[in-house]
Amino acid sequence: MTRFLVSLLRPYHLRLVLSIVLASLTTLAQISLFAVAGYLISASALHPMSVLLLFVPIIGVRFFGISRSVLRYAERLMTHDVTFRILARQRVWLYDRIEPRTTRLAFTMGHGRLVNAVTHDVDLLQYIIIRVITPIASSLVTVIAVFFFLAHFSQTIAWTTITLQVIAGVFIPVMTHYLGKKPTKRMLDTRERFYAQWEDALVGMKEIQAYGQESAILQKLSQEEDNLIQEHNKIAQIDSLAVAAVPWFSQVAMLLVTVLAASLVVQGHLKGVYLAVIAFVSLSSFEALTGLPQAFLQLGAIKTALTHLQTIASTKKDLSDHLETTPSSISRHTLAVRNVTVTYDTTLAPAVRHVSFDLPMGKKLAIVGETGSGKSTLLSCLVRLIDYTEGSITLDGQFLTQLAVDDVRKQFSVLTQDSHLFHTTVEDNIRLGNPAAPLSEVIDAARKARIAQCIEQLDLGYDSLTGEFGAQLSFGEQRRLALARTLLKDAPILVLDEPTRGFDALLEQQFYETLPSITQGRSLLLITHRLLFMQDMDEILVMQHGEIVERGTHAILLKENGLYARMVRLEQEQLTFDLPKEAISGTLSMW
Amino acid sequence: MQRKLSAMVRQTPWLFSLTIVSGTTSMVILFWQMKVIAAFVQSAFLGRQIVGLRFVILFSVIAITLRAMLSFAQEKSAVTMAAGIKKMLREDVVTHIFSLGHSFVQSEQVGELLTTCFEGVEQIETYIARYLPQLFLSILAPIALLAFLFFIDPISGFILFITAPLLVFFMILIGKTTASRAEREWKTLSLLSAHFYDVLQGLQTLKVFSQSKRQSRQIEEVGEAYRIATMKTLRLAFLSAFVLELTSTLGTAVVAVFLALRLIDGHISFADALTVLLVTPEFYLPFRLLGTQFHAGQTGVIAAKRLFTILNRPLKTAIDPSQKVSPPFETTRSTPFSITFADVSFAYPDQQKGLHHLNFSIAPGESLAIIGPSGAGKSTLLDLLVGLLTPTEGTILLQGIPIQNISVAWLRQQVAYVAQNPHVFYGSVLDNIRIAYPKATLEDIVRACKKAHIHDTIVAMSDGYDTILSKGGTNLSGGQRQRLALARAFLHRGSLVVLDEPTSSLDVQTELLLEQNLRDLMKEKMVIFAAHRMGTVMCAPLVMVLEQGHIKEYGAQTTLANHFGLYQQLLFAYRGIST
Repeated sequence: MTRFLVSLLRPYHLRLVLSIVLASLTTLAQISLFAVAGYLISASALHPMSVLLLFVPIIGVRFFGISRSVLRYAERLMTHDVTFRILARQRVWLYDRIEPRTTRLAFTMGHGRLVNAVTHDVDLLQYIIIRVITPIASSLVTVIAVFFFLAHFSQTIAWTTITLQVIAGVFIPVMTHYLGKKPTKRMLDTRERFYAQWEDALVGMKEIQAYGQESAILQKLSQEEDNLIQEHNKIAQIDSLAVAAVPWFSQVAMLLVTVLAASLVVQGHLKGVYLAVIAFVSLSSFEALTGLPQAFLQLGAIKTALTHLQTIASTKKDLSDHLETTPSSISRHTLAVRNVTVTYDTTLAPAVRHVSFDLPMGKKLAIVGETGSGKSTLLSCLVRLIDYTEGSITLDGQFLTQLAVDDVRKQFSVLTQDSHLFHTTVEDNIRLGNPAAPLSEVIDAARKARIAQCIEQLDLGYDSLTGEFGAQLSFGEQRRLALARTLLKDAPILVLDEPTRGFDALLEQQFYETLPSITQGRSLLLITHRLLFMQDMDEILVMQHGEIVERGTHAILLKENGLYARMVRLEQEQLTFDLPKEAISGTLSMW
Repeated sequence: MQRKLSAMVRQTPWLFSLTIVSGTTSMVILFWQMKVIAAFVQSAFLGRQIVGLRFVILFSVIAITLRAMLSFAQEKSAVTMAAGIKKMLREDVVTHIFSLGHSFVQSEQVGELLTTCFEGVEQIETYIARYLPQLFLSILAPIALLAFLFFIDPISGFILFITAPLLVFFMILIGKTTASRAEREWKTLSLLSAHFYDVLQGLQTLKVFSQSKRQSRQIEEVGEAYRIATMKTLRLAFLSAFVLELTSTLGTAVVAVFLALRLIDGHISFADALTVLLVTPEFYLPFRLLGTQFHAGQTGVIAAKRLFTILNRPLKTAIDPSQKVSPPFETTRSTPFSITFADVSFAYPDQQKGLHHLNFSIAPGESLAIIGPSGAGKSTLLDLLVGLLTPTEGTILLQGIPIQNISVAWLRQQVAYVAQNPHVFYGSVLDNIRIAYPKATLEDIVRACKKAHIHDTIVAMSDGYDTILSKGGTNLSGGQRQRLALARAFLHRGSLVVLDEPTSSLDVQTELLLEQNLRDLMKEKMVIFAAHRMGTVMCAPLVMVLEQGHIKEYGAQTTLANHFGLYQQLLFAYRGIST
């Protein structure tokens, strides 16, 4: 945790030191202003012979008056500059930690907590310099400087002041921190829950309204906010006490110091002119401590935020670091999967078990099976989103684990089931498949995916924005846009996971009719549960509970009369439901 | 804008005035406290004797403690006031968003909306609970102090009196120039977090296209651009604070010099001079505090603007969920009713899509499948039926009564609805299904889940029906989410079930099982659904073919299958026959 902080701050240590120096000088200039002003009026009260004797203190008050403002301005700019530098660095740091762990984090944390960690925790940590480091360091410098100044006049006064300063600056903040620890943690947890409920209410609005749950959800939100307020009030109570306590101690210090100094003056141990000076120094030196209670209170929240980030950083990566990177020499694009097993979580059954197949260049392979049979997990292994636990996958005889991840991904054009549409233009969303592609190729890909016509109908055509989650397009249109993106990427192996999900029957038919031209000169791995266009496949793997239970061509599998044949028959029976005999007589001969 | 925010303050007048009164009183006490100390110092310094030590200590300690108590009260009342305002604002905004309906949420970025409702509201809180009271205090407290100062030293009082308006003038001048910049900055900030959110959502997609590494640099570039832009604003914004502090420190210096000159001439007593010097920083303190909060105040106003653009959006139909449930016609829960679309049209703002002059009716108890290409308007039609949207033209009649004359609450009791991408709420499986019928017993829910073929999956989960589902249902597959939503429909007690693509994420075997249950459901209730899958479509006795917002074909399943047309074509296509 501290290592993370150090690594975050190290590149900026010079700016940080400068910030602390500026902050200390600002407070010292303020103290000096009042010390000199006190000296000025005291010396004047003794009716000096000439005003010229007061020349130095008169210059002094002006000098400290101006320098305080200038120093403060410089200090604020410096601390904010470092803060924003760190903020950018922090986002990148976090992204670099999340990127190799996407699958596992989504599995263990859920997306809401992830996003919350990113927004709230990062926002909180960015203030660590302004609110925590600079106030603590600069007050330390000030307190020591004031101590030596006062000790010059009287040890007793110096010790009295520093004792009260330690109470106000250390004891109270530590107490505040200790008392605020539990409420702060509870407050942050409640806040997180509240945030999640808000997101739920917005994203799930359709269901909430359809089932008339508005008042129930509103009540739930209201209740959670009450909880949040309650926790917040507890912290505020402590906070307000601290805010009131520091001035109390500073005034008491000033009172004690004045009385002590006055007795010294009466006894003749101290020159009378310094009486007001000492009172002013003691009083204004407490200004340096005002930021401390807040700083300590922040520590609790910062610690929690750091723990969240720590959890993210220490989560196991999706891919283990590979030992050596063979320079890629993939020319034949031959994929061989041998006895692969994937166990995602040791407490769960393997998602994929002992799967083997070959995909030489140009082969068309289909993997069919019901939901949860492990088809998509297998795909994630191939494109190196996750590791496989046992077995081996090779490309041209080279182990996937020993190739650079990007070299592997270069081999595949993939359409995943949850392909995300970004909040940007239609064109940029498609171009993600090949950032260097000219517009003509983008349009060509859109045509092949049967979405070009729909895009042209949009007001801004290819410049139209796709809303968050691509909300301005229907589900089928979103899928086709994602398909266009996949087709734009000119990789040797095409992998399509349920490409026609959300298509109507006509579109689906048209798509499969153009599939041969799309796959020309490429290998195809088709993951689907639609069994109608299987005749064109060179091999079909039937998966069930993570295992391949049958394999072969469409004709052979039908002859074997196993699970595949049963699935086909069920689909076929469905077709004949309620249909006149003559309409289906021709169809049956197809099977 | 400011008026609206001030109106909110008026709802908690007691707390607001407490803040101001305690701040002003504190200032008066301070004056007397310093006067007593100054007299004590004078006698020690010039008279070389300690006078009234016990009184000085007693008076000072009481004054100091009283001020601490006032400060505590002030702080507490500010926080309490803030909490109340925040809650009120959030409730207002969420109620309004609910009334605007899901089509509004769909047209916005959820990330940005959340930022507005969360960070935005906090910023408004800072404005109301911190900035506004400070604004009043910075006028009242110095005036109170000045009144006493004029009494003991008019010249110093005059110097302070002159510098105060200067402070205010500079603050307004510089504040105005930074306002528009701050507005831009707020926009960048929420865009920044929306960008980051979007990138995180699509990480897997980025990876597959080998673009994820590049994003890291882009985030850095965006952050760096933000830093440069913000620093520009801050250089100006801090300038206002600089001028404020400069005026106050130089004011102090001038006061000190003038005091010194008059002390030499003996025009003022040392005690009075010391009193003035001791209270001078306190005179400027409220202005300085206001200065530090000025920027926060600006951000609050901008956040409020964004919030009020949401709140000011006109509501098409005010939906009051607490409305009385009065059945519009003689019916029991399970008695079906006829549905008639009379010349119904619907147009989305600035979109060509929509529905055009739909005319059809369904007899009580009949079930209908709607089929058509993507974007034909199937979901829109269903949303109209459920009352999530209101027709722009024409009327929908239930049992002959226009839908707008029927209480929404009653309609909601009658209609169960399964969305295309069902939302899974953060909470237990039980709670997730129960939203369809909150009074359902566990047995009811289990029965519904068995019908939706999700029971076995639920039982296999770590805590069965009490398993907490992560937000968005990330621990469920698409098919499981859909079946969970179907369980809601099975649980619902109404007479009409509306399903939007109920089987699009299911595999053939599950689909077949579900289709059997769908048929059973159709025997009990009216079911109206949109589907891409012919297998599902063929379950319904009535079929509607929708294309580009027009009804192309409408009639009984068998009639359409025998008739040359789009539906027959779709049937053939599904079976792999080219026509």
